[in-house]
Amino acid sequence: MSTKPAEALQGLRQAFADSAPADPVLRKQRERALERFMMHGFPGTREEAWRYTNLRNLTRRVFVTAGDGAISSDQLNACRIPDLQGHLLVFLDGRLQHQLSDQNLPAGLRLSHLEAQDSEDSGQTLPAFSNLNTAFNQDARLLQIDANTSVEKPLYLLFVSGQNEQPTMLHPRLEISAGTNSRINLVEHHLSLAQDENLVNSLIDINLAAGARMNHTRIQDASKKSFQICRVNVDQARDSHYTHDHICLGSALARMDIHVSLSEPGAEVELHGLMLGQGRQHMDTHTQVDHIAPLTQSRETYRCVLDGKSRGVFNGKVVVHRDAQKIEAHQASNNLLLSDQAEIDTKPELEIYADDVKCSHGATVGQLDKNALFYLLSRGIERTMARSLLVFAFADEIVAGIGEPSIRHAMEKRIVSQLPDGDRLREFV
Amino acid sequence: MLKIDNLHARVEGREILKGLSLTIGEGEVHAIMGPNGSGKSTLVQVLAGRDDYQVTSGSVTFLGKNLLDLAPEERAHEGLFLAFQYPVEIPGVNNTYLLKAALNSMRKHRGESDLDAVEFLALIRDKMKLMEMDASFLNRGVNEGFSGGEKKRNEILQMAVLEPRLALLDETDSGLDIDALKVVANGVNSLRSADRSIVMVTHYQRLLDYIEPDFVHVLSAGRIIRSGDKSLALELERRGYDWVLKEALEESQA
Ligand SMILES: Nc1ncnc2c1ncn2[C@@H]1O[C@H](COP(=O)(O)OP(=O)(O)OP(=O)(O)O)[C@@H](O)[C@H]1O
Ligand SMILES: [Mg+2]
Repeated sequence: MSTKPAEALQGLRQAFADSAPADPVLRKQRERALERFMMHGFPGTREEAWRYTNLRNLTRRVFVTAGDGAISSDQLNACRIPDLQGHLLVFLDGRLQHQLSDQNLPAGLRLSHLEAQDSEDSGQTLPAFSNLNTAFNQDARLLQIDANTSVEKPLYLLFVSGQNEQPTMLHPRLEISAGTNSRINLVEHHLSLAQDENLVNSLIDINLAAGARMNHTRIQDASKKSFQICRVNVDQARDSHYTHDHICLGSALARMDIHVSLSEPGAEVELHGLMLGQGRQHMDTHTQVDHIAPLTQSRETYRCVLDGKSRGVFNGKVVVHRDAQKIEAHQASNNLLLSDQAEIDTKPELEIYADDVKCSHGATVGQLDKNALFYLLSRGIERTMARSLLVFAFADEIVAGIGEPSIRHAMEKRIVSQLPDGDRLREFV
Repeated sequence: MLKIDNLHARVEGREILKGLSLTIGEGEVHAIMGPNGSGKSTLVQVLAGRDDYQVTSGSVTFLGKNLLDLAPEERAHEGLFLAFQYPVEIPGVNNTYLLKAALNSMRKHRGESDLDAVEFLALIRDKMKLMEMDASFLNRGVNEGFSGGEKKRNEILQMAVLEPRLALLDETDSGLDIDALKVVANGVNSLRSADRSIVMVTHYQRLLDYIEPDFVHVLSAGRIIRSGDKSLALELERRGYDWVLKEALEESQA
């Protein structure tokens, strides 16, 4: 089933020995997580969930744990989203940088250390990378938004991979607890200072209490040689609302698992994602929405643009539980292949155990619209530019949905910059 | 301006244009009429460079150049413009972007610098006024959700902005209400000049009441089977196509 490359596992044991905490309780917890990981090793392509994503290149490497890196404020300013006015928290190589972060979070927003991370006792088998995260995470944080608090400015979480000599593994861990009727905009931005071959294995648990609203924008623009694994678990109580916008640009291999449980009536989730692959990049998004309670809604729109020899995977699973009547679940996966050698595997997976439901799903895979291209050419627009304009338009359907204007503009510029003739397109965004 | 000689073209293995010849002089306005499916749109699309159509023989010279050697965008740079029978909707590409990118691309080809934002807007406002279009159209996706008539107006707006040497208007009049037809005709007429030629594909005399053609041609089964002046269109309006087809058949058998 799974793969247990001896050298990589040995490397993990070594890294664990070098980094495990002195505190015996914590240490025990982490050891258990490591052993659970070791039992199965890395997921292999014979597991359904990993069928299209081969971790061969990742498991060939031996990653070390991060040391104490440094980042100057100039470096920081060069890579952060320029006009995003928010409460900034900077994590360098997985550790919160107090000097570079906003010292005073607004009232009702509290950041603390996360204790007791091991949920082994819950009885469920945890995903391999979650175990790995528990064994190794360095500065796990708990973010709490008090009931009835509206955090006006976005909370900007900047995760930076520093300059490391060896491939380094980082395991960001965040638990977010949004109180009753609270509101927050969360921006999670991953990037690298160098063209590193790091492994970033993030684990984020989100709990939304009744009536809470959260917009979560995730931008993954890390080194194109890195490995980006991310799992987001969301649990939603009555009438809560969660919106997730994911822009995936970086990494050699990216895997996103987002699992949303709509646990009480009135909970709504919107998942949007854009994967832009070039070269040999591999990008995989797995979503799972569990409609546990009646009167819940989910809407998913994913787009993927693949050039070169890049590969995309989208798997959208929707489970409607037995008593979850009168739910709505809609899913669309639209994919654009710009080269003959690019490949996409897209698949909806529906398990419906209730009878009064409204579900829809649709997937398209295609090339650029020939008619649209000819129309632009016939207006004298050069072919390269015309193609880029159409690719941008396709991608922008997702980007334009991001609520925060500064992120939207930054992403539009960023996307245009990697398109052929992008400099000439710039004036249009 | 344009000389088409014995043009043959096929699509998906089927020959549509079967030896079509037509010459268009500078400043002339030609109308092409003909039954559905006779090849009118095929002709103008071939001229604009659509690659679904294979030209199997014949030649087309445009302003002294071999038109068939040029890519679609190069044809546009040389001054060819096609108003589509079915303008394409391009969601996500803003109308203003399209106009600006197209205009700047033309200007670049002519060795002129890009228009700055103020000049560009002034120009567009002016042309929108001519076409009696609301400014809100500018911020919408190209033809996205436009009504049939609005799309046609938008085509002529683009033409007015790009100022081509040769405009091919493929059924620009169909789908227009009477007032819109006047606006569009007015837009086209305002572009008539001694160095600009216009080819109108149409089914109706009504358009020709507003834009008077110098020549009228009947296209049938991939060939021009009859040419005349504007009185030919009036006669077609009265008598339909049967008699022309019959006469053409008799001629070819003779
Ligand atoms: N892409 C294509 N694939 C297959 N057949 C085509 C294609 N384009 C045109 N044809 C065929 O070629 C013939 C001529 O079509 P064309 O659109 O040129 O006619 P038309 O004279 O413009 O007709 P109308 O007056 O209805 O607009 C038709 O029989 C049409 O079905
Ligand atoms: Mg036609």
